[in-house]
Amino acid sequence: MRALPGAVVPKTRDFGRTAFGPLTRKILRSLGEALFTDPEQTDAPRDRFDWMVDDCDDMVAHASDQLRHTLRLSLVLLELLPLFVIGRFARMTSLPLEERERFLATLESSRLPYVALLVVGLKSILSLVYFEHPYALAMMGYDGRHDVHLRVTQ
Amino acid sequence: MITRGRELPKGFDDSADVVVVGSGAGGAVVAALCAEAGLDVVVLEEGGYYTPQEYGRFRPSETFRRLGREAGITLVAGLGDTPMITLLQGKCVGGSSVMTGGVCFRIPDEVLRHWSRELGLCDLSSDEMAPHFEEVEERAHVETVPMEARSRSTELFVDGADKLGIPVYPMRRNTHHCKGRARCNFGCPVGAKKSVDVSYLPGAVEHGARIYADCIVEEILFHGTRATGVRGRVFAGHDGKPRHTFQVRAKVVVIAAGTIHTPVLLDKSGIGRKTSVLGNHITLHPGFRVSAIFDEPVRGWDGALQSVYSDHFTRDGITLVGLYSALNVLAAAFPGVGREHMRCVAQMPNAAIFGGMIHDEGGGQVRRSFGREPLLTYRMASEDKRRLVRGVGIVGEIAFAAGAREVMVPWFGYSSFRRVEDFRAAIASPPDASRMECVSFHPLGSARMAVNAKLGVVRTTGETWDADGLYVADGSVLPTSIGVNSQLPIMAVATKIARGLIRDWDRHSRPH
Repeated sequence: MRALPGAVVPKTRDFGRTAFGPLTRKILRSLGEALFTDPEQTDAPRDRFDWMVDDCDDMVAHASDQLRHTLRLSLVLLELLPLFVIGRFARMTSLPLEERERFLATLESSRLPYVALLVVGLKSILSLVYFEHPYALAMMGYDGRHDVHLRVTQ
Repeated sequence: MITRGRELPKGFDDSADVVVVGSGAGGAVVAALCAEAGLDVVVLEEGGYYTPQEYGRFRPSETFRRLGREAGITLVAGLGDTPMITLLQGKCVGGSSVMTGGVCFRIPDEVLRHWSRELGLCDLSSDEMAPHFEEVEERAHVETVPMEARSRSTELFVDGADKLGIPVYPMRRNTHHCKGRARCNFGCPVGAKKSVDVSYLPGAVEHGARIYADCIVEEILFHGTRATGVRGRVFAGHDGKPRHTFQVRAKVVVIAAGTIHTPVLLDKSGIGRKTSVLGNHITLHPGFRVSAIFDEPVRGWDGALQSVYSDHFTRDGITLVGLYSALNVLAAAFPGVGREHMRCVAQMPNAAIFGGMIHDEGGGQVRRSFGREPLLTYRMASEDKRRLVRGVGIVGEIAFAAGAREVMVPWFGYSSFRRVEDFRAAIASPPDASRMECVSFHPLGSARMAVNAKLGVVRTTGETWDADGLYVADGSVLPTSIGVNSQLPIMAVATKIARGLIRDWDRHSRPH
């Protein structure tokens, strides 16, 4: 687990659980890259997405078995959907970035609510983590003044 | 004494006068009042124990994962044409009160009138409840949010509402020396919010109460029809699975596990079988918000998370609020993916957030599921869908009136509106509700109070109809939706229940 600088270690230790295996971590990363591509900075540092995957894993690991199974299943489903959504006989992780973005945008505006929910739900979870990174906070114009711990801005 | 269950090498046996299951707004109040009255109290909490100094330094998502149930991502299963509803619940010592915005409303008089006159719950009239509200307001330091704590986002909300002739009023919250850091929902970073882990549980501990964190209660114990204790397991070991067993014997058992988990525990223990209401008719107060982009910098992170409200549309079942949140939470709700999403997110410094909630009919149902977490379903009534769209329409109009150049709605597949005409057209022909997104913080009413065992699970004293010495004291006992934030109402009702329990102690202390 890659901690941000100054991360707090609470007295109550966390349980040593993980939520995702190699396949689902790969899908998470691929999804994150497509969701959060910054047009101003095409060479996004690799470690930012590595951190996102690690931190997302840590977050979801705190949830119940049911939720963890559901999320793993959702990710695998997302990986297999390009054939049915954009007619490409390919997994999501093998699509070029632009095409992955188009695939996700198509899913998000799908007329089938559960299909849209797949993207919206996963986007929400990944956003919670990704937009806590110092880079993302700075991009949103936040100077970190209210983070008493200051660990996300120093 | 507060014990972290995960640090215990084995299970435990304990006994007390009163065992309280859950340490949130209901359980903490009962525990503190009973302990302060001289009773021996044990509190069992499923979640972990984190001090205010610890959680005040967490990132928002760290609060979700460590203090929230399901890492803060509980999804309600929508039935039929129902929005996607995310439910935020606490699972820690202090419960959801640690994760509220601190907003404190009394139960509106018209709701109490309905309960006392039409439902026959005479103990719940305005006059009967007033002293309990006063007691909680004093102890939890409920105060009016001062003007200087308003964020620019809130000022714009007030400005827009004013232009449309919608009156707005300052809120009251349980804070003291709030520094306006817009983080109330994630555990106050400066210890200003008087959540029950700060305002009630220390009093309980001072008077000898023993709090066990990381302990899940799985069964209520009985002797005949009298509750005699609880049994469960401690989350322990490397992976935190429920392992060591524990048992607490008590003269009185108080269940305060919250609207979602209380009915499941009661049902497993055979309580509430005479009525069809257990686990049903749950109200959620679905909340909505729009994001409005202005030409000027807003920097809504400077100021209280919530500081004003409008009850102008209460008769239509809509309450409006100016609000803000952590940036990652706001970013998650911005529309689009990839470049479009990042374009919206980059405008965050100029974003104001306006929102509200609806006073819904009880379309929720909770049932045991295949895992540890129960399944919560919700079927939104057609009238509530209309309210939801109307609410988004009103706050969108407020945003445009305040000068917003772009308004984003919480509907899947919709990008932003730059012209008020386009916005009005979308409101006039909205998408299916299943393409809308809501948030809920106030699940209520799954084990409601009623005048007999057919209509409800508990009496107005909080004691169940089915078993002696078994009380329920959380949001599940509220008989209907209340249309306002539920923290203060739950605490006041729990105060009423605790006072009655203490008054009636002679009956409970008699040998079985």
